[in-house]
Amino acid sequence: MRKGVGNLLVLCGAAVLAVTAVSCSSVLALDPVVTSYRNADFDKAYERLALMEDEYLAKQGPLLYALDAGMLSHYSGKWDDSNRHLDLAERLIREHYTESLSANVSSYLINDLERPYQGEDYEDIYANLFKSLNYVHQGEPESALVEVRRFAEKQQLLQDSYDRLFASVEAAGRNSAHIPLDARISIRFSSSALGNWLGMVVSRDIGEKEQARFFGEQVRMAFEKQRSLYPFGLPRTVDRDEARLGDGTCRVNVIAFTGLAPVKEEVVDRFWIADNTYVKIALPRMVARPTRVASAEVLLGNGRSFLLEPIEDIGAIAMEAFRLRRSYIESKTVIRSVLKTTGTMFIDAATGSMAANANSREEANRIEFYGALFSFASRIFSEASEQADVRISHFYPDRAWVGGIDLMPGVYEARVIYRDRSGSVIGEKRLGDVVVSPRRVNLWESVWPW
Amino acid sequence: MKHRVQTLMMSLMIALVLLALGCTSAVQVTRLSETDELDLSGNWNDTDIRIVTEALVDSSLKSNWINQFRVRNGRNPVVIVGTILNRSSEHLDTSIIAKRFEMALVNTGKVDMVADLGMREELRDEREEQQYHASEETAAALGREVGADFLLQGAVRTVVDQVSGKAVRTYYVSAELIDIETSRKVWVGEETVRKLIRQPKYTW
Repeated sequence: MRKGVGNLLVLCGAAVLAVTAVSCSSVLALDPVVTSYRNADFDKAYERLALMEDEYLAKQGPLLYALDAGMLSHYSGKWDDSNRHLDLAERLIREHYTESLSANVSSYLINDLERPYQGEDYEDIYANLFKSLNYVHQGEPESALVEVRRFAEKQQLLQDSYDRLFASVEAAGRNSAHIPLDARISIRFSSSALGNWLGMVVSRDIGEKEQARFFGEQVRMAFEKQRSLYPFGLPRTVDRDEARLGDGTCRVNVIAFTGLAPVKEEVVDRFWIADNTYVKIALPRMVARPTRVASAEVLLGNGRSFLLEPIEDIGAIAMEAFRLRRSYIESKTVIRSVLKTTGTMFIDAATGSMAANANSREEANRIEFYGALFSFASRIFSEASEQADVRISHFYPDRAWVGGIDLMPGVYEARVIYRDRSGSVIGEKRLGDVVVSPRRVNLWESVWPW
Repeated sequence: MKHRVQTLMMSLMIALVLLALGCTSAVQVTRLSETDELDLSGNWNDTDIRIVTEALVDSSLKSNWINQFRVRNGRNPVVIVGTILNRSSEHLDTSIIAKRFEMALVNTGKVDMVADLGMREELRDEREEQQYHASEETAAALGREVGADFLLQGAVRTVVDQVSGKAVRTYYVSAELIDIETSRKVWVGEETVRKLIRQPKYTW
């Protein structure tokens, strides 16, 4: 009897340990950070994120922390910090390209959180874009261009990989009716108008005419070739931004970011396949956090003003990136969940069969007891371990806006007014006294959190 | 019983040895010689700098510009190092290339170098300061800088050809010596470094 109780304790302990090991939630309570961000208190948001660094690293890993910290430090004007975080993010994305086979196998048995987060393509590309902006603000246009070139290289790689993907989809379409629908209807994001626009502005201001022209062409091509990702018109400023002005004035550009890109949340469904058995399907779903800003205008102290126009819908690009992977995530989740449930049903069936063939009633009871215990542990394991991978960076903006004006060198007081659909002012951000000079990159930046 | 004690002792010893091995510091340092080629990330590194500067310096010294200048002017040419632009997709410290070049030219004994553009401002400030704060006998005189005859300029550019997990990265490092008076280029050199970088998709 004592031995039986001991076995029972060991089994229960093992079940608790297994459940604890696999059910550590990756969900982070980022609400205080988001609240500070929404209040446009970017310093506070960055501070709050830094305070929860240990918890963050434990739950979502270093890559996502680096991306979030890199973005919040950028918004709060800590350019060095931002570059440090985003450098790390970029390095980790590169390292995580090489996947661990054992982690992959685990992800088929337990859940997708067993694999380190690899980063989405757009997260990788925009890391370079924000690093480039950091260097612009630090007065290092050469380094800013290095980031733009790196961004262009990644874009080229994306283009090539999508070309191959679509070629294989087309080939599959010729040979079979089973064409991955998402891949077919997806609108690939392989060229960022925003990144190319930034490259154009920086190249122009350091006198790299040819490069500025190349980037300008790329902006136009991004709009032409990816119409569903760029449903708005080409910003009027683009045609004026390419070349330096020869009349003593400087082309001054403003870039603004509004809203927040989507995040993922878990959606759980349970399908009953027997009286006491169900399959749990936990899938990630994208939740949009669209900007409320419908128009933005820059007002200068001298009474002049100009409008900003949308150049990139980062939220839509994030949605698109997820859509490309959705079929794969769904198939994998279903296979895994069914496997887990099958395991439980096998235990139940084996218990019944062994109990029926037992030599005595006492032995049958013992088999049924342990069988029920195993079955219970298996159900707990399935329920606890089946979790959706909702990892994604939290502080990329939803939309980017650009505009430009010709100004004589000097110091200007400037502010950006943000309006909603009804035309009501919903926010105002002072840019302060900004210097316009032919010897610097004349690019100002504003961020509005809604 | 004795046998069991011996087995236990042996096991304990093995465990201790394993523990000692496991407790060695994670940081290990191995001193490398300058010619050891070690590529970790595929990025621009000391080996690339060495290959590029050796080739460019060699090309520059083999060219006839030094002798021609010496024959014409009866003295060593004076060179100032300008900017080696970074037009690549990596954050490179191009001043290392410039400094290596400068060292190689000076060490030939046939070329004189003057302080480069960045250092010159600092020297001028110091000379200015000396006029007020140093004694008359020791203060450096103004207006006695040696004017350079040639300006060394260059650029590093990269081209990357890549597919998933594989990339060929080519660095084009160019340098040129320009006659400051006539803007004539007396020497132009270029060295390329090509690297095949592979990253496996899977590992254990």
